[in-house]
Amino acid sequence: MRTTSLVLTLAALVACDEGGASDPHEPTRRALLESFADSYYLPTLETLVTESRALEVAAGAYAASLSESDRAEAQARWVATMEVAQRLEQAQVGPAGLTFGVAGGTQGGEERRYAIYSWPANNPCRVDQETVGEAHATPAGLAGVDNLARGLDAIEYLLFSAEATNRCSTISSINADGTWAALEAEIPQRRATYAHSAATLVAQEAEALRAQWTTESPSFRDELVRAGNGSATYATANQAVSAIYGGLLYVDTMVKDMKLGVPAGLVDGCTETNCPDARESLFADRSISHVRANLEAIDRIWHGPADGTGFDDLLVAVGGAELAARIDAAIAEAETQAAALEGSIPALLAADPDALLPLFTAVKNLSDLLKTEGVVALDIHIVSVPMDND
Amino acid sequence: MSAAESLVQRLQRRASEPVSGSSLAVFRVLYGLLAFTSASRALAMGWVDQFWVRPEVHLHYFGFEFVEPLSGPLMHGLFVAMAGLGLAIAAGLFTRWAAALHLVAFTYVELLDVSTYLNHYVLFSLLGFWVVVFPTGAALSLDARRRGRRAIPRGVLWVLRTQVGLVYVHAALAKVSADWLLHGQPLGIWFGARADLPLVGGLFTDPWLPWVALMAGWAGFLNDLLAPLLLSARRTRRWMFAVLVFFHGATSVLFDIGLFPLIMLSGATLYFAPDWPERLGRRWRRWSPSPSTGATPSFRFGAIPMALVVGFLAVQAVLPLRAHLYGGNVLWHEQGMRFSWRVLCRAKAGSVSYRVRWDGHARDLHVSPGSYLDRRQESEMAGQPDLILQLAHHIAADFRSRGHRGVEVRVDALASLNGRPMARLVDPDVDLARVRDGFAPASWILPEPPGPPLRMRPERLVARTNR
Repeated sequence: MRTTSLVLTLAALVACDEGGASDPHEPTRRALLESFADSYYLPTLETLVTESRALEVAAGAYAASLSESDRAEAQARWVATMEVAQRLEQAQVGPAGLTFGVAGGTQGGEERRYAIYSWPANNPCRVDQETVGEAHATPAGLAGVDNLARGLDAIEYLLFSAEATNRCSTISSINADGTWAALEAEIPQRRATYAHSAATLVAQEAEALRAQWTTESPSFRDELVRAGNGSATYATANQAVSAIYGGLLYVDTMVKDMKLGVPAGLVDGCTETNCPDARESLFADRSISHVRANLEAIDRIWHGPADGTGFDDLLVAVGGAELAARIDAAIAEAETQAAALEGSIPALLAADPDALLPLFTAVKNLSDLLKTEGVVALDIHIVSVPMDND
Repeated sequence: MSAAESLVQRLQRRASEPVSGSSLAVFRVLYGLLAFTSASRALAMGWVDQFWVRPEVHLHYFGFEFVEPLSGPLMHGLFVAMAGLGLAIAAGLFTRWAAALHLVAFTYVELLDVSTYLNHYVLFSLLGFWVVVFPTGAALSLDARRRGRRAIPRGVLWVLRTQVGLVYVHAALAKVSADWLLHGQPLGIWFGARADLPLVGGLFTDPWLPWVALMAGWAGFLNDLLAPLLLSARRTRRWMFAVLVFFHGATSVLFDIGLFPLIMLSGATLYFAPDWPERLGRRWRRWSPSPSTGATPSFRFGAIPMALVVGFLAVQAVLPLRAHLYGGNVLWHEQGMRFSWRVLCRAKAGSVSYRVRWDGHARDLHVSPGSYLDRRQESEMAGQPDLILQLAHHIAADFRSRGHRGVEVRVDALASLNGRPMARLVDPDVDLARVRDGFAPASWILPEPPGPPLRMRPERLVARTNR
């Protein structure tokens, strides 16, 4: 009888582990992977495809008319597209995600993000140099240009910059040989055409990314949710969960340090009282909105969908309810501090040099929790190499 | 005095008795194959670039700051050479030279960056040292085919068994802690993350997890403590070896610990009779090398070699205990942590942010370790105070090189050990630019936080309507 019970119990345990579709109400790693892919990443990516196509249409209309109303519409579409892109930026996982390097990254990353949005690796001068060339006239021509001069960051400059001058130095060839000056009358048209070509490429890249996640064989979605069960990218479910978690640390290196710390003069990279010109959105002045989108994204990813699994559920399941509550509070505090900031970063810093400090501190507290207790409690391995203490 | 001399002499005579070199040869073959695998794996996985070529800053061992990596192509060439030397060791071709060159190359690579430190790399270097010193190519080797098969002195096996036994015993002693034996941590944390494993995953979930973690902790402790003893006794040897195969096999499946299980199992084979390969060969009737017992060993346990060997092993027996001189929890302050066989004892992660100020800039400027280190180096550094100090010195030097004077570097270093709430690891008010590294107790490291580790209280999913 005892033997039969033991066999039945073991059989039940084995049956639970066969890696089939998981019960969405069980806080398992596999359930988290499915929730993340199906309820967060893919719907957001779908929205990016839709918004980037709308931006392409609006930019095309502006290039055709050069009217202020069409420009305003194109700018509005850029804002909407950028908002979605920022939500994906916060989820640095999969083909769009960063690979390992000084700035970090996650397993499975292929850095396709740079073709959509390359900040902080962007360069308005490179955009100006391409503006006087001919490659920008068509998407095919622009596709041969490096990421510094295309993507949503280049489009921001092209649509929002009000200057007729360029951002290159006087010794740059376009200024030294007079090319820019000779074409000055054509610049608005060239910039609008350029923006249209760049928007087309962004939309194409978003669709290609969607295909990689959904229709290619094997799709990245399947690679992710089948982690440890046939996935070539992730040997275990925990590896895939670690990859998503590692992507969340964008909040540390990019949001805390680059988007807030450097402009505020709090982080190395700015040795003045503050450096508002180092802000993310230099021309549309949407820097704070971008941070808000990043924080909303981390909120949604951390908590998962209402009918699925989030990191908080995993924490509760391993006895970390108190930690889950503290991370909840840290996310809420960061969102509150971001919501409290009204206006552009230059205006905020002009009024108060420490204006960004409360938000910086709140984000730091969140990233500290994620990098210490969260990593330990969930056994996150951001870098997959033999364990440190064997 | 004369009785003591007699004991030493008896020990010396017994240690010098010739025995078959077959078991030592099998160990040498396994060691060589592991050396080949280790180097080949590093090349295939891209670790040569990732660990030693690409990083702009390397974290050095205290006293070995001068050891720097070669250029990219030379580092790759070194690993190719190490793989080749591994094969030469396995084949027993110019065994001593191959082992010596491999030992130098392997140890050089290990000294390049502390962030790559692994206990089993240290063990591999120590075993490599014995492979060089002892006549490991005396049998089952191309050298033996050329020069003739020879016996080995019995004491060689004693020394190697002691070497392997020391690792097991110290690994057991390292587990004598409330976290491991009373709370089942960090095993509970690690098992909980492996609930998706086939077959056993169900044991790592509610309500089994706390008990499984606790039982596994005690099993691991007893395994490490008793392994040398039960391997030494003839009656229990086979059973203990079978247990070790299961134990190391399980750790290999559950944890990403590289070649460690294979190294330990290779070492454990040394506890069998010196001629076990010959006996096994005769039993299989396929292979029966001529017995080497009786041939003159090429190595003798004279008074000086004996004293050196005993002294070296005595240092190894004592050195891992040095952590106790510092007081507190070594897993927190990490003073005396390295070279002490604290294997799989801690789940620790840190978050480090430096604050720099200099003459004319009184406001703290935050400096991320990521500006200097890659993410792997940063995650290793963040829980180890001496590495935090080392990077502080590097940052101070960097700011001085930018022309700043009076550079001060402080740090916000937070860490979590075995799931405890994060706490400050380093005194945030101490200017680390003025602190010198050393072996003395570090007053700038703060005491570990009180309280137990993460308590495993698995709960079914909370009501989602509360969101």
